[in-house]
Amino acid sequence: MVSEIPAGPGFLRMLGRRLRGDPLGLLGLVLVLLVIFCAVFGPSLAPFNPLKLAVLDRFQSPSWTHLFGTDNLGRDVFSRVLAGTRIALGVGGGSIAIALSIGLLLGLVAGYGPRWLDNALLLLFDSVYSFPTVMLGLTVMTLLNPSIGTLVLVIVVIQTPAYSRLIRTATLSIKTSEYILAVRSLGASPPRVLLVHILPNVIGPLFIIASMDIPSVIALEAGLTYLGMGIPPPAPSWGRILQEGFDSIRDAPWIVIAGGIPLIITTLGFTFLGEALRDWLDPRLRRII
Amino acid sequence: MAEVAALTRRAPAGSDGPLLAVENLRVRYPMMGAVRAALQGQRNRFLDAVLDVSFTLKAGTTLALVGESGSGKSSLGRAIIGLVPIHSGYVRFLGKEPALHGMTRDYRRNVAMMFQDPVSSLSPRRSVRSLITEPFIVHGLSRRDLAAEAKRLLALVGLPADFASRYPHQLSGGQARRVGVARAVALLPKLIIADEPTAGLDVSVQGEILNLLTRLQRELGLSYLIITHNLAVVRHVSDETAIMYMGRFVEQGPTADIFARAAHPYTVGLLGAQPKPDPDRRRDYVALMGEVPSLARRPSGCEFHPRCPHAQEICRREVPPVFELSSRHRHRCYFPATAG
Amino acid sequence: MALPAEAQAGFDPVLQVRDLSIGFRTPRGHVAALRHVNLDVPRGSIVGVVGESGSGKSSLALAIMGLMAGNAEILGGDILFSGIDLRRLSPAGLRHLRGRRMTMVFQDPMTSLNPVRAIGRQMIDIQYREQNLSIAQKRRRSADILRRVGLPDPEQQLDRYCHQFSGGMRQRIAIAMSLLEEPELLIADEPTTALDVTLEAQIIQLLRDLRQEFNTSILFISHNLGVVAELCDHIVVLYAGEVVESGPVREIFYRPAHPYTQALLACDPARLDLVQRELPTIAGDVPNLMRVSVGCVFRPRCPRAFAPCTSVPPPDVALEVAHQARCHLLTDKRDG
Repeated sequence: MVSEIPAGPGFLRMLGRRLRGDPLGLLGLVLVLLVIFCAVFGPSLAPFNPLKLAVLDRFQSPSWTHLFGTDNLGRDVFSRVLAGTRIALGVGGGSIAIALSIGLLLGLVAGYGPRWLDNALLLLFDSVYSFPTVMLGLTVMTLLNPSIGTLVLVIVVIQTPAYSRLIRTATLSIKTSEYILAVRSLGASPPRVLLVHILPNVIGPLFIIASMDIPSVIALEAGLTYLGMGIPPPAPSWGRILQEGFDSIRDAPWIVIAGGIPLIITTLGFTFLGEALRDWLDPRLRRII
Repeated sequence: MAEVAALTRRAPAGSDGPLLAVENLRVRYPMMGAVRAALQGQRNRFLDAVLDVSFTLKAGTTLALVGESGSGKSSLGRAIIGLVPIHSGYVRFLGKEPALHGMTRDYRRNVAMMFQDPVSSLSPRRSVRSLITEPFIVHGLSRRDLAAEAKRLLALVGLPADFASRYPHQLSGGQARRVGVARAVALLPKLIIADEPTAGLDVSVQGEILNLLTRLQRELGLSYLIITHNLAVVRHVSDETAIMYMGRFVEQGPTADIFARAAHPYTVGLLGAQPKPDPDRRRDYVALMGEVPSLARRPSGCEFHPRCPHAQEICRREVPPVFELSSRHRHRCYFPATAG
Repeated sequence: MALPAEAQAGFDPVLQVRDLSIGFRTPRGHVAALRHVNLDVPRGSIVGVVGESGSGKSSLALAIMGLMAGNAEILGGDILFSGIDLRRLSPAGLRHLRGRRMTMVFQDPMTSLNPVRAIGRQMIDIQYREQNLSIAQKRRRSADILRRVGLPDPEQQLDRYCHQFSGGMRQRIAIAMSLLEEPELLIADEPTTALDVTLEAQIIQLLRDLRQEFNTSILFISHNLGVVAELCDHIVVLYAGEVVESGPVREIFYRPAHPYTQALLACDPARLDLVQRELPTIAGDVPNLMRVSVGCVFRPRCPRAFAPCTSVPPPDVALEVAHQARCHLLTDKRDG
């Protein structure tokens, strides 16, 4: 069944053509690729061990040896930022991917399944949705031990209802359309109707929203870590770098700046790319191409 | 061709009986939930979209279901193919009742449906190839050479082979309709239910699609149930015609009889309301005043009496039974326009 | 600006379209949607524009109303409304005409009426130019006009919403709203296409009555020959962005001159007296308007095409009073 979804190369070629006419989208793609590159090769590129203490070298200003200087424990900030990319992208990308999969499944079931199931799921989504995000995060992180796993869990719980609702609404509007009736009249099974005919039509907007959520999730991670509720030390997450940087902002302002720059790059990259994707996936725009 | 041979092998054993027999069919939809109805003190929370409909369709022939919007003609088509549940009555296909065991695979294979909107009844993100070969995949026949099948089907409906890689939005209305036809005939069904097969098409393209359906009927031995409001087309393409009003067949019979000797005042009005493409002939404006009442407020007696110029006391009180003008021409009117 | 000859001869058209060309910019190229279109709507008459999909009939209506899509542009020609050159009018000037002196009725009244405002509120709103009328007076005017389009109990209907009406009633309301300011020109773009025949008959009858009552001129756009035949005085046949034939309704229906008009009439199953299984069609497809050929636009589908049709643009041949067709066959006939 998967083989019937329009082939990948065509999609990429179309995407490439589209991006050439959209410099901001292209910039987004370059930035995202840069972030992914750092996440994959960062640790091997890092000039120093991000965890190695060198108290004698503490608070050194940026230099050719230490591009972003060193922190209060003498660790190389540039190496820590590079290493943090993997955590940031892992937490951001990983949790969004999990939330996306669960949200997609629940949304399709709620939209296409029986009425009572829809009502039950809707109640569940709304209950979770009505919690203030940070409060929910803080509560869970306090109850369970702060760790990367817990953080991912929190983000999945927070993000899933939004994705489910989006998919549910789109599914509801598509399921009464003539082409779905046409497929059902052929005798197609519900999984086939859902996976082959409804999924490709609802997934576009979801990808865009999710790609734009990645930076905000990374920011949430940074925020929770800054509050001491995120990833425990000494792991070099961007949030921790920022938190420690703020403590010594008078002595070494470059730490905060160095911790903030990758966050800005990631946010801009995913946002630009997401917007370009949205434009491209809008059928009215694609129809012209 | 191997396919045609397969078709003849599947041909009905007792081919003298009707292909499709519908008896006293009723389709009802709930207007509100049981709780709300109880709270509001509503006793009747259902509305009947199809009411007491009976007809038979002989193999190789065409029956046209004619009615205004809200007449229940689409609900009837969808009930026959199992997209909406049947409340009571029977649908028998080759003497067997598919509804008893859910809609069986075999039945789905033998009965195909074409939907009203040529473009929007095709999944927007699937190629023409995948759309027209989908019936094979759904019915577990994907081991066939699907590329060859796609080519064969496109040729059958008169589209170039390179259309296989197109997407629905790249098709004109007529081309999309042809794709819909290809999809319907893919599994060589015995019956095709066509819901407004020419709606939204230009008049020149309309002729092409109807000619295609006629040709396929001849070549493949298909039967059609055509759901339409277009009487001008019905006159040329259907063997039998049934006129529906508020879920009921008010008149049914051979098409020529319906046009020449319409009995029910609603049929007479509908025929008079057809546009006359001649500046010096006017259609009959007074024939049908007002509009179809809501199904939720079904008039008593004969449903047509509020709009009927000949309504009498009995029409308001009692639902007219079926009267026979001839063995095949029937109507439900106490005061028919033609007395046989 | 030089006045056209007809204007000097006491001819008083509400609308004159002169040599109008409209193009669409698309990423794939330029689409020549309308090419050198001429059209007159004499005061008090109903002119039908007939064409199949892709003929440009809706683009024409929107261009006249000044409501074209963002990627469309007028490449040349003039649109004169009661002598006012609409192309030289400021957007404010155009808005002043629109909704008062010229109005439009669309195919689907469900989408042209505001779903969250009661009918009465909407009708009062569109009378915003009548500053010396009170709300109560405007309401009474609204009820009056609803009564004239055949809505029962108009006073009560004013407080209801669009979705509470049936399709036929909604179209009556849309027509009532368009006539509220007694416009000189009403443009009706397929107003009966979404309706059942019985309702269509009622709406056509209504339009004919209202024309008499309001002395409004109507530009009626349709693909349906039957409707055009019974309503219109004059007919303009559009094919692939060009006016291939225009003339009085009887001329077009009884003596069609252009092969396309003849084919179109022949295709209508309602015009076939004898029952026939095989219905007439027009072979071939509508041409691609990104590459318009030099010669006749109908040549690829024309059963009677001959040499000059490929290379020479056919002239508009005058046949009778106000009846003309764009075809080489007619010049031959006249010469020979």
